[in-house]
Amino acid sequence: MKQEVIVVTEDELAKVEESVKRALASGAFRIGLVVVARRRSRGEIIGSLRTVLKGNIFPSISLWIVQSQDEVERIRNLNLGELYE
Amino acid sequence: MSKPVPQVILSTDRSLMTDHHGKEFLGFGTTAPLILPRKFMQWLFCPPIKHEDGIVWQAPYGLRRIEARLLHDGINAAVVDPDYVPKYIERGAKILIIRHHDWFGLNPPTTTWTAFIDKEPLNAVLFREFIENVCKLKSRYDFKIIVTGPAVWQWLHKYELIDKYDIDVIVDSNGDREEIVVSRIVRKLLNNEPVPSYIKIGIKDNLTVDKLVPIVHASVNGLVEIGRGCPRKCAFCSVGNRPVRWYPLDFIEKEIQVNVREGLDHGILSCTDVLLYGSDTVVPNPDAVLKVNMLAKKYWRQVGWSHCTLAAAVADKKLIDSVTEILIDGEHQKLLGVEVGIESGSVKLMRQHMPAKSKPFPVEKWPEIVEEAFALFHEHNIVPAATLIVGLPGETEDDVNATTELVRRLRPYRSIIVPMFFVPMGPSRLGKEEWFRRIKPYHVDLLVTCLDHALYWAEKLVDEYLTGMKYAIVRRALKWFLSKVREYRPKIIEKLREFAESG
Ligand code: SF4
Repeated sequence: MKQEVIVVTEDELAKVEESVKRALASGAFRIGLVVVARRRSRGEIIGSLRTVLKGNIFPSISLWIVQSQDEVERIRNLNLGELYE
Repeated sequence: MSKPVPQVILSTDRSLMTDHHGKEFLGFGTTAPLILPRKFMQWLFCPPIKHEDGIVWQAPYGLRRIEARLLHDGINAAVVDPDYVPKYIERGAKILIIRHHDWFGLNPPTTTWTAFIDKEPLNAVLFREFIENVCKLKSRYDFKIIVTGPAVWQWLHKYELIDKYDIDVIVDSNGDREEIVVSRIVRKLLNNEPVPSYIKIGIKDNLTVDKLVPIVHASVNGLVEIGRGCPRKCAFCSVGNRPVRWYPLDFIEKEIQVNVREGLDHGILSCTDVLLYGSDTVVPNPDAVLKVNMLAKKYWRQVGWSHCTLAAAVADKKLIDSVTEILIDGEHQKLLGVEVGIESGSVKLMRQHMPAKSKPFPVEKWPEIVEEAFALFHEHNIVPAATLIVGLPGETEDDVNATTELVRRLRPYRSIIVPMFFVPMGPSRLGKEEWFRRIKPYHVDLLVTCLDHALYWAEKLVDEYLTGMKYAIVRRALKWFLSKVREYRPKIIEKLREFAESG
């Protein structure tokens, strides 16, 4: 199953909906969404992504909230399928 | 030698960790606002379950499925009574998994009552107290909290509580492939690997039947799942997006045997439509339906169904004859309870939001199908607890009046009809719509008609539903509860009118 990782900062959450749509259009059904956040809390980020997380019935989405670029790379290299199989 | 402490404990609050005195219908009471003393309501609707050092005898089926998967994957896990969760954390449990289907009282029917009764619902109070008790321990003990289940979308509306209660992972599974995903997350947490904060399982990631692991301990009131998904695909419903999968009889039998072995002589077959078991269309496969019911009756004195559809019943009336002949033996079982969806008496709304609900019949025939099914059920001692959805997008006064008319016509038939205010549950096709919160004067008529229907039938059904000495006190308490509701009826109507006018 095709997977795609989208990386944004905590100030770019409004972009996510579009990116998810693009990923879906390109055939991805497992999307890793990585948010680099140093200021905003986990709850605030999840709340801000409500429409993306609640309204989309098609993709499997895993939301990772990280603080550093190293962590982003680590998640990029994960096989997201492992979470579901 | 004492048993090792489970690394993973699973639990939920008292509104779900109970067998409702062995009577599933009483569970509806946990959605009610605290209109009577809390202790009384709690005792009547969700008494504590038997346990041994906190390890419960019966637990909600969803928790049992996760527990079974964890054990199958080599992880030491157990379902624990909510009052014992702190004890197990103190003893060293590393992960707490909580599953619920109405965390904050935002689902119907809870929202219906709380819209005009200014009191917190019992289920929301119980969850709040439970989680506050648990999260206090976070500063002293090193453990993680995973919340999961079909209603976790509610956390998206109460996101500040994710921080307040320090929730580590939210699994939005809609009950599908949930057990596998939770097990993977648990393994990662135990290995100190990174985990997502929120994980949502899309419709391409459904559980396939070959991945099923049967439960290993008793479920509440013996409930066993016989399939998942629904072919009717109503726009407001999240289950409707999932493909239909029926579980094989040998799998179902294993789960029934687990329950019997642990002492349950009654059980519930659960899926979106028991009458469609084994069918790949919207018309029953009578052979399969009879087989699964015979199997259940072979083990259990009383068998209930979680849900069925009215159209499937009307599509094969002979099947209703045969299946009730098997189940209703007159000795151990006199009635068969089941939840059904009427949703609306308006053909326009049905066509707009759930055109397949009436299949194999045309949607124009919906009100007639409902009446015919209710008459059929009445004749066969099947007691439906039916739902209506109030405030569907696009609803007009005429639509509401059509529903009220239909409910009036259903009066002669033994049933309970519960109006639910529309909630955009995620993930469904109406998941992005607005919540229905403000009733109009014409809604009052519908709500009062449902209340009168419920009181009329509930008062008659108490003696038939709660038979024998074992239920003498519960029966009396329920009668008292109903008499209080009847006493408050004028006040309720007054409140509803005020509320409608203020809207
Ligand atoms: S018939 Fe019931 S389970 Fe099926 S989609 Fe409609 S509401 Fe959902």
